[in-house]
Amino acid sequence: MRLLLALVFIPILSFAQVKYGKVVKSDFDSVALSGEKDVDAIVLYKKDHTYFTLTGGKLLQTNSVHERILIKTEEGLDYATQKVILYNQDKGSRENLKQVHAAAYNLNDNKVEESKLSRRDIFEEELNEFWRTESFTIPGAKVGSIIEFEYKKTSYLFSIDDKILQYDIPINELDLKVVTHEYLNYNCMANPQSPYLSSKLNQGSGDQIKFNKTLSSYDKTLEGKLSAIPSLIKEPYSGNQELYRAKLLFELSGVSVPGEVYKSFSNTWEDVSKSIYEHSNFGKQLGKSRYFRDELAESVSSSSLDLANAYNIINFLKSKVKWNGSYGKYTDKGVKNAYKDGAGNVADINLLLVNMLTEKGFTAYPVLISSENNGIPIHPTLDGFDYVIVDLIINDEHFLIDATEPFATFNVLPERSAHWLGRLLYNSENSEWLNVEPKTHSKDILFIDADLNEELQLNYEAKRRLTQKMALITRSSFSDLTKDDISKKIEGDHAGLTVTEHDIKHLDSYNMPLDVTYSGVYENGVKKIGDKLYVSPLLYNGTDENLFKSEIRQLPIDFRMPMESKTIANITVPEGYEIQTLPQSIKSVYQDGVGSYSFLISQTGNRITTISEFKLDNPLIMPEDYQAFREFFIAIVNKDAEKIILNKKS
Amino acid sequence: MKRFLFFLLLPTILFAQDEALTTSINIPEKLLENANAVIRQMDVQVVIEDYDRVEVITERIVTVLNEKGDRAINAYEHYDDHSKIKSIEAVIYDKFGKRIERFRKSDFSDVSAVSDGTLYSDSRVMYLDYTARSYPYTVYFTSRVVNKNTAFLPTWFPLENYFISTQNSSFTIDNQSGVELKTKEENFEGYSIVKEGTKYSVNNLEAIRSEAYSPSFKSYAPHLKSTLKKFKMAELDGVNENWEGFGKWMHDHLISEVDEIPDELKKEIQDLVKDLPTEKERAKAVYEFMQNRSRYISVQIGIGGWRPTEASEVHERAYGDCKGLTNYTKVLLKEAGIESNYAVIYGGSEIQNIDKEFSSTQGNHVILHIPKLDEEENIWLECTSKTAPFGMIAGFTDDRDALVVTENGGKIMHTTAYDTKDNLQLTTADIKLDREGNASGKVHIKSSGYQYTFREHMAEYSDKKGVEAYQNRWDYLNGLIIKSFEVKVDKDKQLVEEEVSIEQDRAAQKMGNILLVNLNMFNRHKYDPPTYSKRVHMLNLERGYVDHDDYVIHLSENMKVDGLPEAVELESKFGNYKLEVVEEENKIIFKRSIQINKGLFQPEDYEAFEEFRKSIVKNDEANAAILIN
Repeated sequence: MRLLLALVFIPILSFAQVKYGKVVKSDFDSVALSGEKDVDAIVLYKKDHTYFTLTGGKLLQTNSVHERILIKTEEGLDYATQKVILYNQDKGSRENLKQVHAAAYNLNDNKVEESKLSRRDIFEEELNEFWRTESFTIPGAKVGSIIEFEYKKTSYLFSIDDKILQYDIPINELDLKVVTHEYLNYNCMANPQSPYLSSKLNQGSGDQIKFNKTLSSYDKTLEGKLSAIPSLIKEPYSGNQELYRAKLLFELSGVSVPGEVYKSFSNTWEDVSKSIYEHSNFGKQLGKSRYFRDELAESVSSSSLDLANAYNIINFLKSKVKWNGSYGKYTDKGVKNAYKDGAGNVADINLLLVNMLTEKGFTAYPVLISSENNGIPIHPTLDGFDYVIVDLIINDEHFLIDATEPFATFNVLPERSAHWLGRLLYNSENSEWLNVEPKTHSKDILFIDADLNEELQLNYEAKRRLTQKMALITRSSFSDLTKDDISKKIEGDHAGLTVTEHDIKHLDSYNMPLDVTYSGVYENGVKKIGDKLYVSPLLYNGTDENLFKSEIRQLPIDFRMPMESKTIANITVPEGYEIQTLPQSIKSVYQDGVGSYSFLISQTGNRITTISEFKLDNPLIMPEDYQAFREFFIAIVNKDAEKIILNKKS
Repeated sequence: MKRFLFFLLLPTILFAQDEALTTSINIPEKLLENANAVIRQMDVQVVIEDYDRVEVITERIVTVLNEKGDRAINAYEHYDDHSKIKSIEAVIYDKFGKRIERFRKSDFSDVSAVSDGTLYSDSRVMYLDYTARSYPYTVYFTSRVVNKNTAFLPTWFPLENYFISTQNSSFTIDNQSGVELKTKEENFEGYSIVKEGTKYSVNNLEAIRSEAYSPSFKSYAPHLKSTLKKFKMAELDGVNENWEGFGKWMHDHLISEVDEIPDELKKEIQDLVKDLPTEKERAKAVYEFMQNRSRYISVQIGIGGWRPTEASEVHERAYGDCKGLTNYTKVLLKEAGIESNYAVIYGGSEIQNIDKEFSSTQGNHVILHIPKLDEEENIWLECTSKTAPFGMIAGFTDDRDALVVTENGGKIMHTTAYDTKDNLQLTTADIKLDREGNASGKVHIKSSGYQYTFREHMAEYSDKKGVEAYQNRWDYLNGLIIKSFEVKVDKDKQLVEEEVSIEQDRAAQKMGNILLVNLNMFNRHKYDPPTYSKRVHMLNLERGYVDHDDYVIHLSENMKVDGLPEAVELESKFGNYKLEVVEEENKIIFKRSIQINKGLFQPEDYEAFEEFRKSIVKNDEANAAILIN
């Protein structure tokens, strides 16, 4: 489990009072307090207050928002269009938008001119049965304008929306306040993966606000004034960008109405596990088997308790029920209906699998997951999990399965569920943590044998073996393709590569490595310059692009799996040529062998053998290791670009 | 006839009559080739009860063969304030034709049909949200939709899309309105489409696959268009004898009533242009006035989505959609004494014409046409762009037929085409290469014509974004550092000039005492076009262009050329390519030129085209070997 951060902040207490409508000339000269240049727009001020009032025996939640934004570019004009999404299912929980005001201010002859939004320019639209939007574009907004809007969102819901502290543009001043009602208890937590929030940790003392805290009748208020919030960083290969946004999350932990027993929702991970297990769309879904028993028995007759038979059961399930694309730790229609309808959400499918495995005598349990989209939970909360997979235990060995993914197999999960830690639930009382991120190296091994002819073409035969996640990714990319299209897939972006024949083994046996044999011609592997030939030792399979162009980095790089990638290339050169120069063999390591690369080249007669091997044990590269990793990577790119030089024999 | 209709009006009996069509095991082999889905049966009846009431009755059976075919279900109907879905139902059958699920109207999802980038639309859609449990499966879908809007009658496409075959398809128009109906058969040649009375039908159309560089699907797929000579669009009565009359109607009823602007604005425009001597300068000043103060926001609302917003409202809000902004510009130009016309067109990089032989509600975009400015004729203005130079329409509305709406009626006119030779990119570079293989220097790029539109945005980019854009453009140059860049846009000349200072670590690989360097640093074609075992479609090169690259590479001391790429000259009807590298004193002079011609070629020509392009990719790897002492 990653570090838990106790976040403390220095508040900026000296905000000038910002009143809606009071825009002055000097506001137009504002710069981003974060120091960022070249921004599309700057939020000069944002107020985000939430409070509860007791009216007519009901608790009304009000979210009062006011933003003032200086538009700097055409793209920044997007902020002049605002869409507020409102929950709309039934009268009791319907969210309403009130007191909407918006205007654009332009400087004309040194005077501030205002153009107001009129009521008829606000569009209301029902998206579907749950949600509707109210949207508007502020009239008169252009580059250089200041736009401003305010509104109040009200509802009778207890749940408090995430407080977003960071935008894709800088925020100069943020005034945040949440005042809960004494009946309600919340856990508030800040996203610890946010580099902005983490950097705040290292700042000095002063008046401090705690963002990670409990709100209850003793302390109902969370208040913070932040300034100079930088825009959210975007960097390639860092996974879901939302994971790094500065935000606060609120979880309702209990309700204490006077005269009634305190109702707790969650506290420890054990409590969380227990309350999820006891939910009618979780624990009660387990153990039911009558509806599938006969069909399963018919399809899977064997009763042996080995992986092969478990694999048959999974295939039976996959043939019967398809994932409808919805996540969920709770079943949607219930295991029985999902089986009957042939479709269901994550919990419908994976709890059904637990039932089928158990029915056949296996030991299998559900494992709660915080999916990639859900981020990493900090405090024990019900929202900390949004997904469930299956743990099959054979002779004390754990095999994780996610049956929503057609190409997944034992311990090879799709990226959405191979995230963070899983909570294995033996029953409502007993649960424990389990590592669900891939432990085994995914391998990609290419063996290629090529003959160079007088026309400077390389006729090759190749065999590629992929395991684990690499096999999953390739299987998924080959699915539903014709033979011709698979050839094109193998050719990929490699100019000059033609695949004339190919044969694939174990395409549908997901528990086996995927073997692809193919052959054809590679035309761009050799260059004649002057009277010499320049041959690419790894043919088309070298790493030819430095993916990490930026010299600095703030977010981690996540390769998602430990990996090993190996190329063994034999090239036979025609009679009449001699080898002038071979690239030098090298071996380089990153971080004491967390990553390694070797390039070995040798010659036997007119045959040149090159073996390159890349290995990475820890797929997560932290920002502080970026420089070292980048240099390691660039060395690989440079080495792979080197050529064998051949001379015509005189 | 009445009896027959009465039968159809009975409460929907939701069982596909022909059981043979709900099982997937009996589909003719030919229809499975290249197919992700098979249209087993598609019967559409368009019952025009009056010029202001049409009912469309659809009965559709689709067998989906795999996940990619899911989209072919097409079990949805649109509706809005003027139309109503009377019934909509679906039944799912498994592979063997066994009924597995039924969806009634209330089971369909009912959502706003708003698309991305649109602020608001009053159109809604009901659709079937079904997760397949196994393939193949079959969907039997029926619907009845009544529309008071008769301006947009359905078009019949018996072959619906790529990778979808059709077993049976029929289309009937039952015109009871007394108003004359016009129809037009497109691309029927080569298909055995049968016409009996008002019913068209066809069987056993094999699926076609999509191929790169193909003409648009619509340009060769058979389809039947139809339209009424008198129609209803929202609350308006419309006439459509021919383009002239339809255009006249549009002018009188859709456009001329939305041309009010406030008096201060009139004055502002008059003041803006009063000292400008030529019509062109006046028009340009007005166009730029509009560009500076307005922006594009899509709001699909109002008469069938066809009437522009009032000019005064566009002015007040400082935003509008294509119709609103075009009309607004037209009104402003009029104030400056310049006549212009509203023009309906198909916008998109793929060229699609308004059918000049068949007047009907066509097009998806609106631009402005100015008949004459001083001595210059036919100037076209894109009013949704804040940056386009006056009169520049390359890449989105160029080289196609548009409906020009004038007070005297509509006429079809062809928009500006950009000539191959004018779509020019000139790149020069001056680069130093040192003994370690590191490069540094400056690159100049000048882009004009159609190529202007690719580079224009660079002027708007911040330093950070600009650096990223150059890094992506030259992603094959490992170790590239963008030191600085400057972009100048000359709107009058329609020319973008870029100057970029670069450094590249290890631009050349060092092997022993040899440095190997790819001289084509800044304009490398990297990817081969796809190979097809048998090309089916025509080869369509919609626009031509010319690139010239001239680089000088300076060598440091004690560096000597060991070998240079051989000169290459490729000639074909698709264009030409030249590469020439020579050595001068301590310098390598690299010259490359490429021309791609515009044209429509036979499918048999594709192979030669592919060879031509592959050869360019291969020769763009133009390596020089340099000896270091």
